[in-house]
Amino acid sequence: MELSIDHIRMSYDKGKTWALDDVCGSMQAGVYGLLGPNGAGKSTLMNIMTTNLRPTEGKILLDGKDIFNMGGAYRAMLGYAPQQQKLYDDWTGDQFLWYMAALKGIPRRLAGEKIGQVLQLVNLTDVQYRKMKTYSGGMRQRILIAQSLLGDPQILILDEPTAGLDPSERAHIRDFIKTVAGEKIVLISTHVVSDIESIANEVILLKRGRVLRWDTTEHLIREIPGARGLEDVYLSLMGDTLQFTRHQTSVNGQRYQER
Amino acid sequence: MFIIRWELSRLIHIREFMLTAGLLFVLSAGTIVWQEQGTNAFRALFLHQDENAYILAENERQSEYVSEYDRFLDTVRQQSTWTKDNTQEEERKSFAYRNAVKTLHDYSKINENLVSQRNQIGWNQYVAYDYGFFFVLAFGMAVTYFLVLRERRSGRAVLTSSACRGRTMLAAAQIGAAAVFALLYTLAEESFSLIMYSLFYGPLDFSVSAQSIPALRDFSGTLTMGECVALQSLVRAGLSFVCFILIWGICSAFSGMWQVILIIGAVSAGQVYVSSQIQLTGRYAALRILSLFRFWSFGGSMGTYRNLDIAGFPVSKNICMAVVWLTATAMTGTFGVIRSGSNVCGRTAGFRIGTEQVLKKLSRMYHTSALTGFELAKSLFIHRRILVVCALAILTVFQIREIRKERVYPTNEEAAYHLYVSRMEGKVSERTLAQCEAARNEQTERMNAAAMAEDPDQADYYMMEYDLYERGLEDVEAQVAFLEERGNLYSKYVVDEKEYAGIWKNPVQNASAFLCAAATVLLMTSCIVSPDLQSGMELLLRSTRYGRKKLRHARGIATAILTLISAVQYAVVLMARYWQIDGMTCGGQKISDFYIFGGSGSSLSIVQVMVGTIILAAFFLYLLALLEIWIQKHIKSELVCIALPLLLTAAVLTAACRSGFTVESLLLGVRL
Repeated sequence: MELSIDHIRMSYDKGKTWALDDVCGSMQAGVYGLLGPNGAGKSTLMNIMTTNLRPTEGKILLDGKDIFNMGGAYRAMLGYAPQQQKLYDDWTGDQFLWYMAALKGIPRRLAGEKIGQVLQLVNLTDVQYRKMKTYSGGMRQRILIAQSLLGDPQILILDEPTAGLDPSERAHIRDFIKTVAGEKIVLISTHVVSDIESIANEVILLKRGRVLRWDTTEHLIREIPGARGLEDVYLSLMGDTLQFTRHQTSVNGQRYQER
Repeated sequence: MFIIRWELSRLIHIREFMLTAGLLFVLSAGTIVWQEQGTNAFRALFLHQDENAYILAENERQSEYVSEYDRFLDTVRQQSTWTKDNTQEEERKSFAYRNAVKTLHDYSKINENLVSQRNQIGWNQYVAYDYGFFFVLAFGMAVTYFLVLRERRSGRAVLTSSACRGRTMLAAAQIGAAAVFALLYTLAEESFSLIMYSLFYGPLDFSVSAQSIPALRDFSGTLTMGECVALQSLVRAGLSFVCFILIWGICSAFSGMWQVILIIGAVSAGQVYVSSQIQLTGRYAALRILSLFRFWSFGGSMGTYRNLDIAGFPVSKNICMAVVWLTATAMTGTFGVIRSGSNVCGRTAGFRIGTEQVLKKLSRMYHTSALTGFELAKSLFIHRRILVVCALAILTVFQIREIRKERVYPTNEEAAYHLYVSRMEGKVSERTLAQCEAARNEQTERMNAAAMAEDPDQADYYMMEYDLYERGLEDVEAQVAFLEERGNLYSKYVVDEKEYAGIWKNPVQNASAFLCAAATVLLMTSCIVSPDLQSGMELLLRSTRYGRKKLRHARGIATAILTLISAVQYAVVLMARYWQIDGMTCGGQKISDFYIFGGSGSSLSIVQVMVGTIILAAFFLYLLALLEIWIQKHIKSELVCIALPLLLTAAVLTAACRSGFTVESLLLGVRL
């Protein structure tokens, strides 16, 4: 399975500014991290990949077919977990998952079993009959991930899956994503580098709608002189030389020298 | 003071709040029009259609009232004097004695020459309008929602409560802001009502005494109507403040908006029930007297003289009212302030159905793959439209009760007509013709009796009786003669044409009923798309396999079902109105056989017109709902999505009414 992003450009104001500018690349099975500051175009790219937004130019092809022409067939292979947001607070987790199962076209006779499985995966079985307004931030995030796994999707798009979570919960989510990735294409959008450093096969660095880099973590680190980790790569490529240098000096234990 | 200013400023700058206030104002004005437009007074004075000599009848009534007023005063004074004089020495400390003394004293100030001969139709109508109470309650809920609940739900309350003046001082400032809004809104509403009634019935005479208005006959003061209106406006402003604080206090105890609405709705319904159902002389009379709703009305506050027994002393009910409700307000306000001073986050909600076992059982109802069911469940239970359904059901019961009340006809001619029709209505038969002939014979006998009577008074009496029945009988005979002309007499019906005309020839009432149904439909369907768009859930739903076309279909069906609920309510009330006339025994009569239409009109029957009206209304309601869904996709605000189609509907209905074109005229095939 291959998902190709073919010269995608997106403008909200008829070409005056570009939210995405000539984004190209391809994805096979594996975990991809989408990194970038606020306003980089991460959400725009995700909305296009979930077919919620049509690009101004370019296309996205799944095994050679335009995803916008595939319609429901593409969406049947898609699992999407948006950034934590207002859920249906007066529904229980169970009710919400049954609703999402209905939307994903999972037959009733199979839905119960599938819901039970995803709840176990995200460790929410004990609270499935509690109203979602009583859920903590981590539980809300997990229920969103759980619904994205319904129907065993081949493409998983997770938008800031660790936003607002404490460190232990973030670590748990990271490990969890690693476990379920398997043969899927998993795209994680975040601006927290540590979230994807250990799990992403490839990293896509976005800045002001343009792809700065699209490569494996190892290659990126080797490319930047003095970089010790992905964070250094990020700081350097985002042009935050001052922070990069501070980071370097604090890491090396040397006195800070202003450049 | 500083914080009050900020709270006031904050509310004024919230667009939805100002829109809500404006909408309530417009609805209040609309309710006045709705209440008045069906009255004889409105027809006679505003529309200049005094077919039943209403003004003449009113003049006679006022004359009679003025002449009877001194007798009323004498009766009150005599009764009090008798009680006072016939009370034993040892019973002079009883409530009965003291009450008699107080009554005598209170009524001694009143001069029987106070009452004006001129009829006061405008004031009569103004004094009878009580619905402003409900709009004040609704406004109070809006103020409390934006002041308190919305801040709590958004999490901003946690932020403000962390400031040094963010709890008790802020709560006191909110009470102050509520007081200001209560005063402003009530005074605005009262002023606007006065303007509207002046517009309908001519300039109101503020210098006339209160007792000139029959509804205020029992008033024991010496105030003019202008002074009474000013006083009642202040009283109403005070009552508004009481309501606002009570609502605010309830909000302090409960976190959910709908819990608050339920409680306030239950208390308000209780107040209305108590003020109308409990007997004034029964054991629970005090409950009725002290009802907020009753005190809001002119009749309840100034039109009723009553002293309550407080430890053997007679105390005016108005004073008791003021003490009871001010105490309740002070207690609620204090409770609210103390509650605000405590932990903002640690509230426990009132009605949370909490146990997991119950939720587990309820959850099983959702184990389905039917998207329509989920969309309906979202609307009814997540967005609480089930409360609208319940309110509709209660409203329907009240409306049907009103319809089934015994009719009082404004003129003798109408009463006589209905009397004869009720005897003969149904399919025309030999019996019908015999009844007609018998009625004519009765009239002839009366005429003969009048001619042969030796005593002039008796002759006058027989002629008066004759006149009472003659016009009514003539109308019925004309109807029967018309049916005979049309041919095939025994397949036709003697129908109460005036009652049917009362339904059809009232475009304003019919348009109002449709507008209410439209408002209900728009409210019910406003949550189909908007909330998901606002919260961002729509992006998630659209990313699923069935999240586009199938979801759209499911929402369309859910919209149709919700529209049907409202249409059923409209239909039930309409059918009740038709049923009340003749139990649909004459439903087969064709419109072209109606005498009042002179043979023109469609060949549809009464039943077909009724069913056609319902179907067309349901169809237009569904179109309206679809329009709203379309608007929701472009404008996220629920309030705007309701207001825009509603205003459009109101504009179309107004234009249609002015041109005489209505759904009924379309089906009847005549211009009404």
